[in-house]
Amino acid sequence: MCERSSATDINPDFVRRTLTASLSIPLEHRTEQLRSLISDCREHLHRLERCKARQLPAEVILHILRYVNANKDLKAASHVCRSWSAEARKVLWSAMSLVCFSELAERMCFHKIHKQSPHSLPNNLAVTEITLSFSRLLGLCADVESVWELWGNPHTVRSLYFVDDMSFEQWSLARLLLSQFTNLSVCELPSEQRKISFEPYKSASPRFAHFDRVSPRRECV
Amino acid sequence: VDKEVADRSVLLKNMLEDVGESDKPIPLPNVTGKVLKKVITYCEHHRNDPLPQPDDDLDDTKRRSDDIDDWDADFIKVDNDQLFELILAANYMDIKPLLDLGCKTVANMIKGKTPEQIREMFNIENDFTPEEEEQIRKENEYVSLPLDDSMMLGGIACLLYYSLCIANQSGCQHYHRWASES
Repeated sequence: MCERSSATDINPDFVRRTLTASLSIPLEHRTEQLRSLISDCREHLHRLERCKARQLPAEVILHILRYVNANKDLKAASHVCRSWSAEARKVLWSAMSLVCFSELAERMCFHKIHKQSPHSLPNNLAVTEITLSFSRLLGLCADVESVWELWGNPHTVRSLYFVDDMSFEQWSLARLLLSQFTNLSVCELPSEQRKISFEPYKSASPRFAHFDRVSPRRECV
Repeated sequence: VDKEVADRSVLLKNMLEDVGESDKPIPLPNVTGKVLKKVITYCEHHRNDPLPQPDDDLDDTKRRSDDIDDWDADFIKVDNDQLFELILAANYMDIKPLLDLGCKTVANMIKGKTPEQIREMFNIENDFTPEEEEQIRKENEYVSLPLDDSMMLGGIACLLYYSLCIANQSGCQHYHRWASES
């Protein structure tokens, strides 16, 4: 006879195995075993019903995980269960840093792999936050099509964090380039230059009126 | 309940506007009495706060989870089941500040925990197969690796290679264009 499982580790696989195994044993034992399986399943179902954390809809899980700022915790959350994992990975992949060259390169490689085996990452990944330097911005914009083919599209980007300050000339070029990020709402420069730089921009385009809003940056773990 | 208190909930506000001024009770099928009481306590305490504006949040950006005031922190000290019931109720009744409070609390509880601890804490079961788990582990390795010099060099090499590929491609295109034109 197949070993009895506790109600805590019932999964469809286990049920299938038990059912197949029960077909090979005598009829009188079979009823007994099936009865115990059914009662296990019932107990399990009851436990699931009582568990409130499982009833959370996806958008609430996403809402919770947006408050989790450390990559380490997001990674832990991505291992909890399927519904949490999908949301955690959305948050994890929504921010990328182009400062660290290796990460840029690895992501490019990864997205190529991902294209070949699309089952792993959730499909609706969207990059919303980019940390970059001026030269990265140039790189990003110089080859728009191939870059955004890999990363989704620039319309999902809401925040840009620059790690270096720009000269006035650089900034005027950057302003032109930034126009492709149509939904950009936060743009941060590291120093007080931000104030000087943003003045002409604000007057030129009212969409960037709340440009210098500060939001916490995710710590790199 | 006062109209001012009920207005905290967008669901109730809209319902009241649809029904108009009346003394008829409003059914709330998805919320239990105990949780509703808790929700009302919250709304009464926050009755004078400004109502959140719909465009007031940057939905996709990171948010802080440590700005909970003392009264709220005390209010949300409940067992996990009740916490999730509150979050579900706030989500259903569309009370954004309460939903935020609940979510921040859960986020704070997650911090520094391992997946096993999170599962145990919230009574969630692991529904991954070992292969899936391995795949996610691999995938996570690509996110935010710590920066060091050797990786930097490798990265530069990769980038150079990549730009070479691009140059090559566009060179080919030019060549093809040139070839087809002539």
